[in-house]
This record gives sequence, structure tokens and C-alpha cells, in this order.
Amino acid sequence: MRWSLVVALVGCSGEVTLSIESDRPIPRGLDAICVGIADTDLAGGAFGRAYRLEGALATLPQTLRIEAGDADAAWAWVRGDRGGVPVVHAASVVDFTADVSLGLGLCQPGAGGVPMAAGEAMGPPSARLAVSQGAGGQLVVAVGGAGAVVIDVAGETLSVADGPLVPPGDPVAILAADVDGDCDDDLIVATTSSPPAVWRRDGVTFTDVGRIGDGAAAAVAAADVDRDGDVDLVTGSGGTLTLFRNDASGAFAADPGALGGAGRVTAVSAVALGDLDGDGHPDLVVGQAGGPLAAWLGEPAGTGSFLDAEAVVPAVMLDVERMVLADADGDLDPDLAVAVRGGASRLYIDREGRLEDQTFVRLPRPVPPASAIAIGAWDAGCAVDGVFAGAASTVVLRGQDGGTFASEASLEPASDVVLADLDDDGDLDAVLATGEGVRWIAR
Amino acid sequence: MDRAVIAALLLALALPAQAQVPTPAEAAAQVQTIEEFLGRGKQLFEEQEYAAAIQTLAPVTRDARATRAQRLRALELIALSHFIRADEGAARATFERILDIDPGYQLRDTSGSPKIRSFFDDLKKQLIPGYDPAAGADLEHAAPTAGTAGRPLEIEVRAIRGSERVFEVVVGTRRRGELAYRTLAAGAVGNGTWRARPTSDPSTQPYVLEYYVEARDAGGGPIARIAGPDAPLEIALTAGAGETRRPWYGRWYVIAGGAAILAAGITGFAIAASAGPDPGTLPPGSVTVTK
Repeated sequence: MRWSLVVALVGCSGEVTLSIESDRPIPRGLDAICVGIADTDLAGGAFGRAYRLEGALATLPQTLRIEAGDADAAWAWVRGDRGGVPVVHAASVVDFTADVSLGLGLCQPGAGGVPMAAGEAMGPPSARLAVSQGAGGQLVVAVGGAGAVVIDVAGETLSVADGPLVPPGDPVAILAADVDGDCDDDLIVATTSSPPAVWRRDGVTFTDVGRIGDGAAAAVAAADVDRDGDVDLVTGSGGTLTLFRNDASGAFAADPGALGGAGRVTAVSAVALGDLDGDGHPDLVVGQAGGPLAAWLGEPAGTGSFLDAEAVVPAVMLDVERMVLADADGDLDPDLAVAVRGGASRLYIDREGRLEDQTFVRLPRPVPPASAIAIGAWDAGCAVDGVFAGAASTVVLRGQDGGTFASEASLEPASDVVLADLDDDGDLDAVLATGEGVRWIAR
Repeated sequence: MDRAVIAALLLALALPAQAQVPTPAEAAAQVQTIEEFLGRGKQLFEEQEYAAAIQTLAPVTRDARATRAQRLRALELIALSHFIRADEGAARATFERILDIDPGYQLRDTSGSPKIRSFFDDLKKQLIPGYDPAAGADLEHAAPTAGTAGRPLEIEVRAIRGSERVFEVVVGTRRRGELAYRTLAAGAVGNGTWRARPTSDPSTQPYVLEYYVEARDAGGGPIARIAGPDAPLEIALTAGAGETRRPWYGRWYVIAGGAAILAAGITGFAIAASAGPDPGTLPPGSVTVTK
């Protein structure tokens, strides 16, 4: 009773301090943050703003005072970016009884224990998945031939709500990106028969707000290529790569001179953006359906254009199904995990801007094949883990000190996988797109 | 915040919080369900249905109603099941979780399998600084099986092996139904023998005192146990008034001093709370969630 009284008096002012903290070096590990705050009553107010960590903001922690106004509680979340690409997230509920700290530290441990399916599979079968963070916590959006659903956790089971109508054609890619600068993750949905659609997030719902370009895309990636504070897009299809620049309002215009795939790519199947050379500008890796990997480096002056860079990635012929750029070895730069159709996955480690094939050094034998790969700190350790979703099984690899991976568990087959804090308990969960629907895997 | 609201808060805090505490019958039913899971899981393990044992026991490890002891029992069976199924990665992860909860945990596995023992000892060596399986000790003890509440009990402990590695011996006691143990350091009487005299709380009703004994090295790490926090031994106590000394918290000067500190603290917090935190370092400094 004595301590409850003290807390009640502290909370009387309805004001708390939100602190953003991290031990990542600035700018090498983190160079921008985007802070979002919203009333848990989704009809209430919201705030979102991006900050470059430079000048007076060149260090962390940084703070923001939050006043409740008429709100009983609020969501607070932060996205940490490096080289124009998100690398870390954190979120919390603010109940205005105590200050809140959001950590973007190097070590983001998950829960201990064995990964186990929680509840029944729901939503469309064999869907494409994306994780979206914002007011209402982290959500997973599943887009399949049967439609799109927004997935969250209610109690100990999945809850499913209808998403927007899927554009015509079969879904080929779904990407989360903050296109309107409010710090929550909107979605880009690419299908075989329609230009990519932009679904803007508002609270826990998504609204189709328009198309990007005139043609369908086989692959799409997002990053702030010109470091002007808003997210731009790169799409690929056949022998064409196109940069679409964001005008800061979420409207995109093609910049034909900034990027050209002619002569280097003929069958684009995957694209990924990340700062490979550590110069603060996103670089581009392109995977093809039966062609060599290819790379472009962001133009050093920061114009957002891309320059051919043949030496960055081995020109190995692969039938690439999916790619992800994520820090697999804990040295802060992005490494490349490639899901190869009909073959063993590949892991390329970034060594001073060049991607080296270290598959057989770091991954266990046999190297798991996969349709999709997710990389993140899922278990109780600091080293990131990998989840390889494949047609025969989903293989969970546990990250170890030194950047190697060891087999941990085998789950049911899946066509896609993401790591998301679906139940907003501070730990990542795995979400699999299986033949029966979307399944939540928790530790 | 006005005085009426403060008064209402104080009144609310003064009322016993009844809404969320389960009745004894409900609590007993919840425990029964978890015990059923554990029993079924153990049965499946003994029938060598290891995958089914893992599935049956996994919910116990995530159930907030499960006690620490129940979670540890479930985790050990899950870890052994993984190990037997040659999934060393999963076995390791589960054993690590056990050691996170209790670094001094000793396997209750009755198979005596040297492979399992070796795997677990190797893991402890990796995770627990200074752990050396050959450097433990073996203990035996003498303790009463019954006593009187409020009176001291005498427990004698002897190290029959490794007494030179034992730096101290502690006895942990708690009333059955409580969560936390009180630990009492035993006094060394020489010749590898220690003696402790824990005094139980007086009570007008009989109750069971649970206890365990732990030998520790110079770094405070456990090197041997008799029973354990999750599987203690028991002494049945009859009702007893104990000694007639007033407890320290009942003395008038403690009550008066505490009230004075509380009053000062409340005043200070009220002043601080009315001022609110300073604006933040991120522009615009302050954000109002709703207007």
C-alpha cells in the first residue's frame, strides 16, 4: 500500500519521459531513428518524427516528454536506421505511471525455451508475410491468393482481420516501409498483374492509397536512398530496375536515370537494399531466376543514384527465390542470406563492402534449403538466429558466438517466415506461412 | 490532481484487493491441472514417447501459474527428451533455460546415463564461471523430523567428500506455501561439520517447514546440496508461541520513525509530481497524446 501511494502521486501529473537508448556506435551502427507515439484509443492522436543522429543529436540516449492529455495510455515505438535502412525496433506501452525506456541495443535477446506452435493456423494458405510496427504494436500482414489479412495476437491465440483487396494477379512480394513518414510501417504489395500497391497503415488497419509506376514488379525493396528523410523504392522485373523517389508525402515518381539494369540483369527475382560499404548510403543487391547475383553501390555524394559494382558480390548463377540483408555476424554491417530455389541456401558475409560466400563455414551441414529466410535474435542469446522456411521443413538455426549457426529445431514446412513480436511482450516470435494458413511459433 | 481524487486513491488502496486472487479451491484446481500435465508428460517420457512428452510438457514451461519447481521438472524432461532424440541443439537450449532459473540445478534423471551427465556437466562448465564437476562435494546431514513452531531447530551437516572445497554451508527454510526461502549460514564446528539453528515462525496452527542445505565455494557458488529449493525436505511443526520478544517492527520507535519518513517522502513526491519531468532533448521536446 505504501509503494502504491507513491506511484499514484508520481502519475498524477500525466507526464512521463520517453528515453531512446542504445550502445550501438553512432553513426556506424545507427544513424537515424524514427519515434512514434499514439493513443491506445486508436481514435486519439498520434505523433511520428524521424531524426538524424547528428549534430546535437549525435549521441544516445535522447528523450522526449510525453503528456497524456486525455489519453489513458499510449503506444511508443522507435525504429533505428543505418544507412537508410531499418536495422532495429523497440516498442512499449506507456501507462503514464512511470518513465519509459526503449532500447535499441546491440544485444536484443529473445525468450528462452523451445519454439512451439501456439494455437491454430489462420488466414490464407501459402501467403506472403510482412511485419508492420506502429500504434497497436507489431502486426503481421499475410497476402495470399485468397486475400489479405491483418494478424495480431489476442490473449494466447491469433486474431485475424480483413486487409485491403489484393491487386489483380498472384502476390509475389510484400514489403513493410514507412512511406508517409509517420514512423509506422506501411506496405507495398506486388503482384504478377498489377503495379505495386501502397497500403498505408493507420492504427491497426491498412488502406490502399494507390499504385507505383505502370507495370508489375517481381521484386521490391525500400530505403532512404538519398537520405532526405523519406523512404524510396526500388522495383525489379525482367531486365529492368527502377528507382522511385518519395516526395515526402508518400507519392512516388520514377527516376529513370538513377538506376539501370540493362546489360547486367535479365530475370530479376529479388532485390535487397542495405549499406554494404558503410558510407551511409544504401547499396543494392539483385538476385535473378537463373542468373548471377549483381550489385550496385549508392553514389557516394548521396544523390540516391546507383553505380555499377561488379566486384561486390560473386557472380554466381543462382535461381534466387528470396533474399534478405541483415547483420548475421554481429559486426553491424548487413550480410546477405539467399533462399535458392531447388538448392541449398547461401550466406554471404559483408567484408568491408564485399560479400563473401561463407555458407559452408557458418551454416551447419546439410545447409537447409529454403523458400524464405528470416534473421533476428529469437532465442535468449545475443547472437542472431536464422529461420529457413522450406517445402520439406522449416529449420531453426541458433546463432552462436563467432557468427556460426547450429541446428536447433525443425518445424513444419512453410513458404514464408518473418520474425515479429506479435504478442508485444518484448520478445520476437516466428510467424510461418504454411499450407494450412499462418502459424504463430513462440518460445 | 485534486484532493478528492487523492483521497479516493488512498481509500481504494486501503481496501483489500480481492478481485484477482483465486479462491483456495480455484488455486488447487489450477495446480491440479498443471500436475496432470506433468504426470502425463512423465508417463509419456517413461513410455519413450519423447515427441509427445515434449508437446505435453511445453505449455507448463510457459504457464504463469506453474511454480518454479513445476517448470524445472517440465524443462528437465523436455531437455532429456530432446537429447534422447539426438536433437542436441534443442537439448542444450532447454538445459540452458534450467540453469538460467537455477545455476545450481542438479539433474534428477534417474537413468544414471553417463552421456546425459557429461552433456549437462559440459554445459555447466561453459555457462557457469568456475564450475568444475570434479570439484564438488558430498554432504550428509542430521535434522529432526518434527518440532515446535517458534522454537529453534538444530541441523548438522557433514561433508563426507570435498570438505576442503566447502567455504560455507547455508540452510534455506520456508513455510510450506511460501515462495521465498530464508537462508541461514551454518557455523563450522570443525572436522568438516557445520551446525545451523534456524528458528521457525511461531504459529497458532501446525504447519510444515520446508528446508534444503547448500554447500558453497569461496565465490558463493553452490557445489553440493541436500535436496534443493525446488524439491525441499520437510519438518512437521506443532503450534507454538515461540519466544515472547516483540518483533523489531512492533517497537514504538520503529513505528514512529517509519511514519515520519513516510510523511516526508509523500510530501517530497507530491512536490516533485506536481512539477512534472523536464522537456526532452528530441524536438519538439514535449508531445501531448490527445488534446
